Formats: sequence, C-alpha cells, structure tokens
Amino acid sequence: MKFDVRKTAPFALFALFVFLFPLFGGKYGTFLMARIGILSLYAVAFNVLFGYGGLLSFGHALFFSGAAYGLGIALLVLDWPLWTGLLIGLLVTFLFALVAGFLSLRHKEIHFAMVTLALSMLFWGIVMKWRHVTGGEDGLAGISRGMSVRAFYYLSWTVIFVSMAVVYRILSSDFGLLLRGVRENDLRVLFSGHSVRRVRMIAFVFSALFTGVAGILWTLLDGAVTPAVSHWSFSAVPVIATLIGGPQSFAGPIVGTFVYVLAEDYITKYTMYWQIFLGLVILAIVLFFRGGIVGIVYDRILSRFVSGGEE
Amino acid sequence: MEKFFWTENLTKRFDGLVAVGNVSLSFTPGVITAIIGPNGAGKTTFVNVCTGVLRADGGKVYFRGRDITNLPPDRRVSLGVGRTFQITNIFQGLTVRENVRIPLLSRKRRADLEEETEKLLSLLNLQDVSETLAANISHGDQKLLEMAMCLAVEPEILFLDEPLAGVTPAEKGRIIDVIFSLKERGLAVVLIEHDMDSVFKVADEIAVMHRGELIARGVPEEIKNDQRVIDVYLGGLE
Repeated sequence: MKFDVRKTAPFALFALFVFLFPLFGGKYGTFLMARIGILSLYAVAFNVLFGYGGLLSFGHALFFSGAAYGLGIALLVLDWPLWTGLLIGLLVTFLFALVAGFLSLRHKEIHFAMVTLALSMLFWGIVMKWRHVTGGEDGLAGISRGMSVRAFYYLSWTVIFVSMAVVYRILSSDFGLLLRGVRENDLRVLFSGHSVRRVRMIAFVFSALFTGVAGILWTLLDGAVTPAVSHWSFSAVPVIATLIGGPQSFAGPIVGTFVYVLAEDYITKYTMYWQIFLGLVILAIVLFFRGGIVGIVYDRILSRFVSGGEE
Repeated sequence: MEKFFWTENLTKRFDGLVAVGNVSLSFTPGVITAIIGPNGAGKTTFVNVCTGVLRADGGKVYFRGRDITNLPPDRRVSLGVGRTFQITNIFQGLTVRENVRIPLLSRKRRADLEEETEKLLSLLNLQDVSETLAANISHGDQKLLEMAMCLAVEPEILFLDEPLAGVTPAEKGRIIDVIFSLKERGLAVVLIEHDMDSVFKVADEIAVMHRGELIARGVPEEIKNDQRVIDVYLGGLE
C-alpha cells in the first residue's frame, strides 16, 4: 500500500488526540469518548455494506446485540471465563450473519432492508421473552470488565483502531473494488465472471463480525447488556451517523458518530426532545448535502487543494 | 466440424407472447455472425437467453458440447461466454482502469494483473483516459471500455449488442477495427446491429429474425437477395 501523507496525517492527529484525551477529558468525558469510538466502529462496519456495497441494512442491531448477549450469557448465566465469552459473542454474530445473509441477500433495496429489520426484531422478541436466560426487559447486569474506565478506554480504542485498519485494508483491496463494482452495477459484475451473491455474503459477514466486536466492547464498557441494543432503533444509529458523516468515504461514519453522540449528549442536557434537532439535521443532509459532512468538507474545501477521490 | 456454441429450439415467452420461438442457431470460432431483424424481432432476447440474463422457457443452449441452459451468467462467463449490452453496461462510478481490473480478477491466474490491465487498455486505445471516471469518457470510449471488460475474461464467444449505436463515424471505425481483431484472435463474434452498411461489411454470416423466429441464414450475398428478408426487413430500410 502506498503511503499517502495527505490521507495518513489526519488519522495520525486523530489517534494522538484519542491517546491524550483522558488526560484532560475527565472521567465522564473518557467514558463518552470510549462510547463514541465503539459506535464509530459500529458505523464503519455498517458502512461496509451501505456505502461500499450499496446495501442498506436496517437490522445491524442483530449482530451488535448477538455478540453482546452471547458474551453476557456466557459470563453470567453459564459462568464461563471472559476469553470464552468473547469467542462465544463473536461466534453468535458469525452464525447470525450466515443465517441473516442467506435469507436477506436474495433481495435488494427495500426488500433487503425489511428482511434485516424483521430478523433483528425477531431476536428482540426472543430477548424480551426468554427472561430466565436474557433477563428480559432488565437485561443482564454485573459483567465485569476487570479494569478501570481509563484502562478500558485505551484497550477499546486499540481494538477499534486495529479493527478499522483491517476494514480499511479490506476496502482498499481488490475485494473492496469488487464490492464497489457490485454497488455500481451488479449485472456487469456477473458478466465479469464473479458471483454477486458470494461477494455480498463475504461483505455481509465481515460487516457483521466487526459490528459484533463493537457489541462486545459496548457490553464490557457498560458492564451490562440490555434489550435496547437489540431494538430496531439501535439499528438506526449507524444509518443516521453514516448519513450525517457521509457514506462515500471511510471517515464519514466516524465523523457522523462524533456529531451524533456529542449532539445527543449536549442537547439532552436542555431538552428531552433532542430528536427534533436530529430530524432537522437528517432532513437537511438528505435534501441538500447527500455526501454528508465529509462530502461537504471535501467538495467545498479540500478539492481545491488536493486531487484524487475520497475512496 | 465439431459444433462450438449452438441453440436447439430455444424459446422465450413473455406473458404468452413468444419473443423467441424455436430458434436453432450455431456459431463458429473465427466467424462474425450478425443477427439482424426489425425492432421487436427477438434478437436481444435471444442473446439474453444465450448468456443467462433470462431463463429459457424451452429448448437448450450448448457450449463446447455442454448444456449450459440453466447456468447463471457468471458461470457461463467462466466457461468463455462474454457479452456487451445495448445500453452500455460499465461501472460508471469507477475509473476506466478499475473497470478493466474487475473482470481480470475473475481469471484463474492473477500474477500479471497490472500487465494485463495495461495490455487491454492499450489494445482498446484507452490509456489516455485510464484514470478518468468511466461516466466522464465519450460514448465511443465507453463502448470500447465495455469490449475491453469482455476481453478481460478471455471469452471464446462474444455477443455484441448494438456496439455501433450512437457513436461518431470516427469511433465507429475504431470499433469495427476491434471487431475484426476479435475475429483474427479466433473468437466467435455474434453481432446484433441495425447499421446495415457495417453489418454487410464485417459479417461472414447473417441470421435474420422476425417476430421471434429465424427466417433466414446465409452469407451476406444470399441474405441481400433473399426475398423474404427483403419483404420483412431490408426492403423497409431503403
């Protein structure tokens, strides 16, 4: 891979900011920043399918909560050790991805979105009703992360950066090109000798697995898993964050998550109706700025100084 | 000679309307076969069934002795069946180079990807626009790019659906040169085209379809003088 200082420098600065943040961010700020990182990974993983593969999943909470509940049940119900719990969490996500991918990837566009939504709500129903295993509405509390918030902050951001680097590498590879080809024109991909369903399935499983990693980090940070993470509204989080930041770039979902979480945190201090603000922002972006914040910054500012595409 | 690519009583219906009815045709390596006929004759539908875009309602498609009637398009491509489309079918949002790279990735040997990309770009004279988005190159270059993408999968038979539609006279000359070069490489070329001057210039054989049926087949001279072909098609063009 070529080393491009224009692309690498912003990420290096960002990593430095993340590293130094606990020194001045305070305990709550550090907790919030860890949360932003985890949700950023969730959005980046979601955008593998949406921005690069052209598939809008409306059920990614299934993979997030699948890993979270897999971990929670392994630790609290089965009393297994942490490492086994982590593996069980990822295994559950992997199996969910295989089943969901098999059922949903036969469809495209709204039908694909609806199948993913239906499957995630099916799991939410199971979580709510299978009380003696999942804890029902109360969820599973008392999961120990075994370290301070600050130590976990560094551990989780390390996992997030490594995961994002892997996703970036995949998307920059020939497979990433093939995935963008599927987004652009699936018929031509077929006539290029590739199985479109196979490409989509691989991307689907990758996307789900990194969503599962985010789900595990979230559970360890919170020390609990609740049904809220399996609800459809939690599937909307990466959709909204990606739309705000911009789906056509790798950094878009990260920027969008920062804006989404910080705006929610700030506005809810003054009003509980923060969704009104969110609705206005989404409306403005969908109607006027399809490329999201990164698209605006790139088109209006950076493109005057640098040449080359975002991807 | 052993048959190469052929159809037997190939049939396709749309809501009872017979778009292709019992068409039996064969194609030969190193031969350019043009399929002509009025609009709605079933030419594109025939190609769609041959290449797997549409499922046949009856009849068979064979390639090198193998029944490929029910194979999906990507499997047919891997066997050596390529095609272009009436409306240019490329990756508009990717660069010309990326467009060529995607079909190259399906080849079994992968070591020489860069070299093969360059070779194809220069064969189709697209080096100058290699880093340009495919959506931003000329219509003629888009047609050539689509051909480059077809050649990347090393087809043995190539279906070209109206490659000359909407291109400038200069671009037409370039595309015809490429079609001749395909023949020289030993490919079976199946050409659907409405530009009769070009068809009679490049085709070794011509098949004529009308209302879903094959009504004539022969060398250009025979077709030009076939009374039925003149009645249903060529007469109307003059």
